[in-house]
Amino acid sequence: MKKDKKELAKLKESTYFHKGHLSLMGKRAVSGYLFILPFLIGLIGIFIPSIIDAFIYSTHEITNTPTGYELTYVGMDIFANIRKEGWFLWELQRTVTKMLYNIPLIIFFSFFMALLLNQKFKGRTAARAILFLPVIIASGCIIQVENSNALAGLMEAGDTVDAINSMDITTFLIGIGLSPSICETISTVMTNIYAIISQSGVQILIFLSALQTISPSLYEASSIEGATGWENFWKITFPMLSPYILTNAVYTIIDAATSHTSTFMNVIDSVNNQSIYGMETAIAFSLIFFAVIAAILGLFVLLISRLVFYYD
Amino acid sequence: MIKYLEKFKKQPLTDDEEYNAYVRKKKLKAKTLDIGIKIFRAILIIGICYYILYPLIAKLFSSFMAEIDVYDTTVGMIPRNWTLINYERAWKGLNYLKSFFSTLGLTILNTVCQIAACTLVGYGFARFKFPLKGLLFGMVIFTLLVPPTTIIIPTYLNFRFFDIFGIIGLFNGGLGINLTDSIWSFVVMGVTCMGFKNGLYIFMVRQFFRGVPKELEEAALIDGANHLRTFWSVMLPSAKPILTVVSMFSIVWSWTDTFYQEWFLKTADLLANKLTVLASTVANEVLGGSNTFDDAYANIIKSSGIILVILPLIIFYIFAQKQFVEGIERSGIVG
Repeated sequence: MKKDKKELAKLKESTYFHKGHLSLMGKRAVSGYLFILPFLIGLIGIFIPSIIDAFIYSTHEITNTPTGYELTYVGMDIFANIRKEGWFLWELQRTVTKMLYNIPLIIFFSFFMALLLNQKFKGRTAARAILFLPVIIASGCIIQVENSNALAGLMEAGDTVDAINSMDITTFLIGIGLSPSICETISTVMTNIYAIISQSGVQILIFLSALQTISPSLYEASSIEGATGWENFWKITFPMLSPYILTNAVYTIIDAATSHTSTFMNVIDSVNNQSIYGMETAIAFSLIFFAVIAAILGLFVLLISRLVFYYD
Repeated sequence: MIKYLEKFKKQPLTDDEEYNAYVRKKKLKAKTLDIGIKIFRAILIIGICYYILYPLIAKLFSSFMAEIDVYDTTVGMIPRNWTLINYERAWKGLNYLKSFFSTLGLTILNTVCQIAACTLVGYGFARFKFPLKGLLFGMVIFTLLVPPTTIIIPTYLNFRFFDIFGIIGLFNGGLGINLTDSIWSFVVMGVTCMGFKNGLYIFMVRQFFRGVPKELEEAALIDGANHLRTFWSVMLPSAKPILTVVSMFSIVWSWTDTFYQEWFLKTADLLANKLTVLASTVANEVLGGSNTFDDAYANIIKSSGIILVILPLIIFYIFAQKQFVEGIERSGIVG
């Protein structure tokens, strides 16, 4: 066993080196590093130091002094305090459950919409432009301005609009004579629709661009062989789109976790602004939150990568 | 018995009329199905578009509303007194022309830096094998996962005393140079893939290149092109659709970004920065003196401001979208 490992290591080494010189594989590896050099510099020069600093801040108490700030080591106290705060775990659990059922819905919806928008029909350009709007509306300054509105809700996540719509529908359904519990489910779905539509702009665009890359000659060939549209979808469209399902799953999870609309980010923001907690608690909160998200991400990637088909 | 069975035997279609009727029936069935699908599709798309557009249309109408209409409860969504005064005020409050061009400049700079770097990195991850590749790609996802808010303070300090492994510090006493309040912080973040959601761009480009058949590249390599040359003249032209999408994201997110602009370009006239304080700017500077708006009217000014800011993006998208559909048809990827 030990010998095997040694041999394997030797073999591995010999893929990159040959008689003390770089082999062909080694040369390719060097070019690979050259291509990802920008990221490597950013990672080592900017990202990792910042993360380490953030972690240092979270284990220290920060006090402002006239010349800057001072750090006092408090160790893992902050993490221990968080465990005492029951609402933190409750909030975390709520966010995570919401994410778990929204993610498949968003991916399914955007996949379906991309297929629809890829067909030829009148007003396709207009429909595509409109479905791209949420990407603009839900970004940066616009969402910020909306959040600060006293009469917010006209646009931000459409809360008021939805509330009115779903209220009407609920009274209508109860009038018909459906049981309240069914009505409640329907109205929850209704309120969720806008959230899903507004969160799937990016995903629709990714799927759409992926659909465009499938060569029409593939469909031509299979149709000549007598494949039906249904078979074409499962044998060509779905496998060719599968790498992008993975992309979109990763993006959706990250977006749901880190966007302005994420409830948990708001919790972190408000903790950051409260004097009893302060910034270090906020950072500690976010570190725990990201550990959880990373676990979910790993789970989804594992599940979906079984479906993925790559050309090579 | 045999006679009985013969009744059920399919009659050969000898008669022309009978055959035509059969074809017609089949065609009708296909046509009904087709129309059904079309109606379903139309309802779905119109419904979803309505969902997205309704708040925006409400905003658009309210931006043309005169101040009296705001307090008139009998006026609904559609204004009674149409006016352009809100736009005039928002235009002045945003300092529109100047902010527009400086935002445009920053957006182009940002997009070019980010896309160039991310395309190279994405290609590197898609096509080369090297040690630690899995770990490094995990780090790409990790950079995406950490929201900028968490690490902005250390990042800011990093740019405040910017230094490359202590080299600059040797000349000026270990302080480095100050890159904040200049576009250089954006350039540095762009070319090192540390900008907003750059991990996503790397991921998308990598997924795209992994889907491109290897034969294209191998042919070029056999013909004697080196890796950079292959990348530039074979792979890049075929990546047009994905690059258009990625640049579109980059453009939208740089255009409306307030977060990085507030930290690194506080003093510049930029649309996003101006928009967040538009209501008070209009009240204090444009109208002058001790004017204050109540929330209802401030909202209308904000609506006009938002429309002014997102209009260029929408126009740009309509053009770019055409480009990415055409781009694919010419790209010549053969499966």
